[in-house]
Amino acid sequence: VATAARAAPTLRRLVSAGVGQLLDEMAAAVPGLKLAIVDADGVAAHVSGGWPDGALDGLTVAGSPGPSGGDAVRFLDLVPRADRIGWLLAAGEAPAPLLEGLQRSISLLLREVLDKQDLARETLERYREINLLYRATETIGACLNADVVPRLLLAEIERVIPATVAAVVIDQPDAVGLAGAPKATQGWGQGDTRGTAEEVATLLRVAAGLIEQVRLTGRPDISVWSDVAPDSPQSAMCIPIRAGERVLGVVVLGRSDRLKVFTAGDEKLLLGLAGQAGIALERTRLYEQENRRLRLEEELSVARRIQLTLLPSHPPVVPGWSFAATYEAARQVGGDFYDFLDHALEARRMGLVIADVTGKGVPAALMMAYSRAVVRAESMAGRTPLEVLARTNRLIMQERQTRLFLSAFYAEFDLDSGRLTYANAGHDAPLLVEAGGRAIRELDAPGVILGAFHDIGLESREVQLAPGDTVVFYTDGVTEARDPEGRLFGDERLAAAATGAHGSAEAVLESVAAAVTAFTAGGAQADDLTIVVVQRDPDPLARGSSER
Amino acid sequence: MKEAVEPLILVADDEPHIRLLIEQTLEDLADEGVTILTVGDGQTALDTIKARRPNLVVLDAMMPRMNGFDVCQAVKKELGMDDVFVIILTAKGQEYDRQRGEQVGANLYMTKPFDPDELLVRARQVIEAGR
Repeated sequence: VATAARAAPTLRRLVSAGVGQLLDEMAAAVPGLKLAIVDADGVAAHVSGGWPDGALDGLTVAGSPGPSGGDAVRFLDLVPRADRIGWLLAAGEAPAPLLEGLQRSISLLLREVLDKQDLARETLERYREINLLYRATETIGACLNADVVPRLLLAEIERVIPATVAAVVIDQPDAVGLAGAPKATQGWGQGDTRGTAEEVATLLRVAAGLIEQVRLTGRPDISVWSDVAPDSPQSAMCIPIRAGERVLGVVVLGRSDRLKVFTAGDEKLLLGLAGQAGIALERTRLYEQENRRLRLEEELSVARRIQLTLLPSHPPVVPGWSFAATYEAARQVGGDFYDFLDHALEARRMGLVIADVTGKGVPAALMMAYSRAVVRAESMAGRTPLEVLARTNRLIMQERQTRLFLSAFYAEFDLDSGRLTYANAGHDAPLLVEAGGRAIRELDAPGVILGAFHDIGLESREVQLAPGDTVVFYTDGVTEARDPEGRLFGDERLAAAATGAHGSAEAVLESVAAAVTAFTAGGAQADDLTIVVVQRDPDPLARGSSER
Repeated sequence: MKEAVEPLILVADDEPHIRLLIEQTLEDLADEGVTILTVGDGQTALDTIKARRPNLVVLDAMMPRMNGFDVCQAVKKELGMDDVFVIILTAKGQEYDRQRGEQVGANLYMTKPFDPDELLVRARQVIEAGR
């Protein structure tokens, strides 16, 4: 027995819980009685009574001679549970039943100390987990950048679950053409040598089956391998990172044989952490989606402003003619535009262009602005409709930065004679409605869209407009408008609406627009919708007559 | 057989399981010879501090018979026991408490659920600084 060293904590706790005092009192009450508690290593936790100095040193076996060469020292086992954790030592005069009673009481108290200790350890473990999850909620849970989540997760894991190597594998649903291709994040942060690139590669290779299984089932699992190579993990634990039932990825840890194999407790803890990561990833994805949506909204509003700024604020006023135009932007803003080119009014000529740029949003709006400027410039140079479109095509082909095209119809009215000269670059043919709605025909001409080919095969055409004749120009947003069942508005409904209205250009425009609105019945408008109507005023003398 | 002056830590919390928890957290220190006392209210805490002058006091903010802030205030401001290191523990998210903890001179402020490992590290630092 040694008295200098420190005795086992359990026995010291027992002594300070009142047993030390009890022994002191008993030793004092029974003359000559000396008591001590020593641990399994023979270190004294407490001594009572007049043990001479050094009396306990070197005591090893029960029945050793007593301190003063008199009474033998009795060793009474303290076995609160399966194992002996020390002895009650007694020397001097004391009835055996008293000592045995004391031995039993101390053993019972010891059992309580041990139980309490177990409970405390268990409680502390649970508390650690709670604290861990709280922390994870604050670090991982507050993260709004999906790329950072794996790193934060590994940092949290590292605090509580020892491993040789770790990796977080997140499935990338957004990766175009690489569906399901995993993005591996090497574990343990920068500058940490646990988990080299080779170790991570080895882990991902040997645990490939485990990872695949966890991905498919969404349930965590542990694999243990025997007889592994020195650089290969002996056990691996794989935990799904889930958002609800969907598996977003996995975290996989490996331990070499220097560490124990993973346990169900490790699994539970990691599942809690991975749960936080799952929530965070899901939230970052929603956050990014929302951001994308807001950016798109902003872009569309820019596009809409560009487009509206460049459209004529009102149709021109020219005696003998009436003009009407409407433009309704789709939610996603296409690239429709129209323009009245009235710079040659003194020469009694008036130009009109209607066009539709492929694509949507800002690129389409910019293309529209560019094309409009080019058409305007070419028109002001006094060129014919065919020349305007052909030169516009050439400029777009030269300048083009984007793969955007446009269809365009250019018309030039001789305001005195009523002669209409036009060319068509792949645009929907306008409808000519003869006075009084008697007949209708398409103003067709060959030609393909601008910006795609050098040779677009344009031809110039002419038609004579009689007083009362109306021309309806439109973009495909009109004919391709859909009703709630998905049917197209189509050419026939357009023709019916155009011929059904009698009166000014404004009346014809309203008739067509109302027919489209009624047809689509409040459904979402898929494309821009542009209608321009030009009417040569009816001859007042001929009104109501069928003469032309 | 008794050591000269053993380092002393006082834990004051009215919740028995938190006392148990902190005691267990500090088990390693106890094994190294640090005495750990636990009490369940503020008044007893203050009396114990006066009598035993612990190296470290872990005070729960909300306790019956004198809360942790008042105990800290008495220790630091009224008794002038600057050498007694005071950690105040409080429920998560009560940020105004932190300010109050600073006002009454607490050395450290931790929120529940506290990190047991951090508490042990801090306690060890305090004990070692006092040795």
